[in-house]
Amino acid sequence: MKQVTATGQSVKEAVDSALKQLNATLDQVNIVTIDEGKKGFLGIGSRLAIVKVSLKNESALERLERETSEPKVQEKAKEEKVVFKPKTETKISNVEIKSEGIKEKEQLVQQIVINEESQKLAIDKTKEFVLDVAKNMGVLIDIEVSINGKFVTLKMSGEKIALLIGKRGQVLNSLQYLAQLVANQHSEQFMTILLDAEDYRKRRTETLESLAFKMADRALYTKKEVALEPMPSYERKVIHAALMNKKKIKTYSNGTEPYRHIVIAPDFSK
Amino acid sequence: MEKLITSIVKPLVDHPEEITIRIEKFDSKILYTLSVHEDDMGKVIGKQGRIAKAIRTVVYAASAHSAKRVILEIQ
Repeated sequence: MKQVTATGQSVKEAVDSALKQLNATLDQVNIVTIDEGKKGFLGIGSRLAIVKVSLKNESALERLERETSEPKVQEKAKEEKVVFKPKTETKISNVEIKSEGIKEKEQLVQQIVINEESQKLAIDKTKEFVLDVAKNMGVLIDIEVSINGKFVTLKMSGEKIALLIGKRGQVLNSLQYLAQLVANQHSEQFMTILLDAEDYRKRRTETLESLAFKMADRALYTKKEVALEPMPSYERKVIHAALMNKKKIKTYSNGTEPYRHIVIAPDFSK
Repeated sequence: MEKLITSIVKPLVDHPEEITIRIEKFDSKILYTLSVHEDDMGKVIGKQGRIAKAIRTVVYAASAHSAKRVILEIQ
C-alpha cells in the first residue's frame, strides 16, 4: 500500500503536495482529511491542514483495516502530526501511534472496569464491617448505601442506634473513620465514607448552625472572642460556612487535631 | 467483647490469623490486651494513635452497660 501524509496551508495545498510525492493524479487516489487546518489570526492559532493520501490499487482488506482502526487514533495522531516531521518518519510513527492508541483505550476501559469492581467490593466489605461491629455491640441495624462519585454514604437505621452515635457523635465518627479505613484497604481509588444514623448528621448540622449564631451574637455583645469546644473538621466547616456572610464576625480555627477548635471573633472592620 | 474487638481489627490488618486477645479480669475492670503481627502494628495504632483511639471509643461505647470497666491495651 502506498500512502503518504502531507501537510499544507489548506487542504488543497496539502493534497497537491501529496500528489506530487506519489506521482499520481487526483482520480488515482483516496484522500482522507485528518485536519482541515485553521487560518488563525495574524498567525496565532493557525494550524496546518493534514491529509492522508493513498493510491487506489490497494487491496480491499487493507483499506478496511485502515478505516476501522482510524477513528480511534485520529485524536492522538492529530496531535502528533501537527509537529513537522520528515515524511518518512511520520509514516513510521503513525503505525506505532495506531497500535498505541488502541492499546491505551483498551487499558483505560479495563482500568475503569477494575475500579468499579474494586469499589463495589470495597463498599460491600465496608457494609459488612459496620453490620458486624454493630451486631457485636448488640445493635441490630439496616444499612442503606448511596454512592455519589467518591463519596459513599451509609445510612444506618435500627432500634438502639443511640449506642452507635454516642455522646456528640463520638462513636459514630470513630466508626466512620474505621469504616473508611476498611473501604480504602479494598479499593484502588480513594473513597470517602460518610456514616449516618437516623439523620443524625442533619440534626447535628442544624444544632451547630444555631450554636454558631448564638455564639456570634455573644461575641458581638461582649466584644470578646468566643472559643468553642474541639470538633472534627467537617463540623468546624459547618460553623465557618454558617458565619461566612455574617457582618462584623470572623471565624478561625486554633490548636492541632484532635483538639482543634473554632474561635468566633468580633471584627468591626468588616 | 472479644468478638467485637476482633470484628473491628480483622478487616484492618494484613495478617488476620495473628490477632490474639488476652483477657485479665480484676475486681472492677476487665483488661483486654490486643496483639497483632509486627507489620500490622501501625495499622491498629495509626497516626498519632488515631485508629487506636477510634477502636477504643467503639469498644468503650459497647461496654457502657456492663458492670465492669473495660480497658483495651494494644501491645
